[in-house]
Amino acid sequence: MRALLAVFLLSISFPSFATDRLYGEIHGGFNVIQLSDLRFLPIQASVSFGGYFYKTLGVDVNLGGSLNEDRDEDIKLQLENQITLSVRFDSPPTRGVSAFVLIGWAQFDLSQSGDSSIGTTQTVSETFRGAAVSIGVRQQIGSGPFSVVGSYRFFDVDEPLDFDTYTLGVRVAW
Amino acid sequence: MVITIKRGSVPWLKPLSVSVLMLVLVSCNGDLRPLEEQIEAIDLDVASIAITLPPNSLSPFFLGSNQAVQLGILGTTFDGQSIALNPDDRRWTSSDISVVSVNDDGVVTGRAEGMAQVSVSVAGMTVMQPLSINVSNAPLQSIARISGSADNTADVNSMLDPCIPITFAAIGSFGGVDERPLINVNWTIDEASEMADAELFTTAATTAGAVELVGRSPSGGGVAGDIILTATVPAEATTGSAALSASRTLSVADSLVSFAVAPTDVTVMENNTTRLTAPAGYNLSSVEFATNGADWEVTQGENVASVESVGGTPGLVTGLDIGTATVTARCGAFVESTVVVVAAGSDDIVFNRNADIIIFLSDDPEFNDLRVARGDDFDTNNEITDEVDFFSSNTSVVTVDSTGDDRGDLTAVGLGSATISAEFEDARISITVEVR
Repeated sequence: MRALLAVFLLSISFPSFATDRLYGEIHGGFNVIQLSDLRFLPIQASVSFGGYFYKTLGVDVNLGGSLNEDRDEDIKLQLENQITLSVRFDSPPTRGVSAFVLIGWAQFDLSQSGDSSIGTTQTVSETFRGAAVSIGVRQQIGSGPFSVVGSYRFFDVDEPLDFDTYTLGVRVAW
Repeated sequence: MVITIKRGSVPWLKPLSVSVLMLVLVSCNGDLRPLEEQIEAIDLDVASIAITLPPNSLSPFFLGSNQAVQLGILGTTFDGQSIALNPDDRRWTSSDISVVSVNDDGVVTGRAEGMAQVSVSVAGMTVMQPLSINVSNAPLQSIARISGSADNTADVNSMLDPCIPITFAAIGSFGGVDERPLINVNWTIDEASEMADAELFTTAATTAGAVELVGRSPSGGGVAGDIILTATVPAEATTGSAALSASRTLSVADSLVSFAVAPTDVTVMENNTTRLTAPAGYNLSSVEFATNGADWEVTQGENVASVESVGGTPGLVTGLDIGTATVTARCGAFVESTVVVVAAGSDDIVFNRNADIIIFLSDDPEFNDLRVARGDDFDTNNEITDEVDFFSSNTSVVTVDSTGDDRGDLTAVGLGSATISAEFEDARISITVEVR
């Protein structure tokens, strides 16, 4: 209910978009997920869509997941899927470079499997929801619609789970 | 479409405010526990789990209304070993919470008369057999008996081996309907025989209402000493106006034939601890450890070391100050001691080398230097080499400079090995140097 209210507030705060300020991005990178004494670094792929409603203020939707299971000791972990809805704040570009901050809400599913000493495997999946904050830098490539984007994101789900994502991607604006 | 912004307005303020509001409104949820439990289960190699009852519990298991009891979880590994799992923060369930409620930490509470089944799951494993709990409001009528942890249904053993603690519980009879261990009990002992010496105590692990009893060895001669253990339930804890009591006569056997303290020479660092044990031989059984029932004390050097006895962690020695202390353990007529040397904490100072050093006669001393720093790990920010005194145990093998800019430099003199020590205030550390 609170999430729905947040989306509603978000929608009424952005009355319109400039049609030439929409973008799409594709990212690759890795997650750093730490729980208990184990650390997992599955490879991450994601896409983002968004737009600016005023100069450097906009919204962003990010969808992704890990491409592989990463193993630590006898445990394997994978980010099954992840969606993040954010408001974005970009700095004015200087020589084609701008920094940005994304603040939003995220939901993701973690899938963990473990091998027992007799070879049986058991899988556990859990869904988490919470806040996500990203910071990053974008470099315009020439005068065309493309730019390169690097970002760091951390998730806060009010659990003793450290979950960070490092990505590098390409944006196309239209 | 283009937004029209009024001159002088702050366009980013609204979305920023909404963003902050979003973060406040965002509901965090998700349960990490199943993932952590799976890691725990894989790590411990747990194949199945079962619910365990407090010691001295009876079957069928009864609770009074509003009576709370801590349940436990016992895991069985794939190779058949038993391992106790922490019952806290698990998925405990009750088949009827109006009869028995259970919290996430495995504490069950009787709510109303009836029967309910309690279950728990860990890492996706659920107990094969849920625990049936009966709740009864029947009043306490009498103390049916005093039950000891060494008892079994076939043979109620009233003979105590010296210095082996036994847990006793008073079993109440409620309305002639059920029996269960009593919680509000006062315990006393009467050493009916001069040959007996016994002590009552409780520890953090002792179940509520129960008591630990340790008998100490009589003076010998093959004579057992009797003691009388009495449990009393105060009047305010009964439905009647009178207190209830029951007694049980126990004998401390003259069965101890050997007693020792191990290890015989102990070194403990200042502010650190080490555990002594008391292996004991009994005439009707093999060697057992009388550690938990022996009477431990520091008989010399009370300011150097301390030792815990029954009621704490018996035999646990703590180094208080640098020096030598004598720790003594007694079990009746058997008295044994050991010398404890308390040394400067090795964590006070540390070498830049953490393994034995090998140097060669041809080496330049400039390349074989020992350096010292405060702390557990060598860190140049904490280096105190210039303030340390160095010593060599054999200067015909290796010498170490203890003055000037070359302080800590090792010079190979002859083949062999020597111990190089470094002293700083009360701390002393050593390392072996071999010359080839």
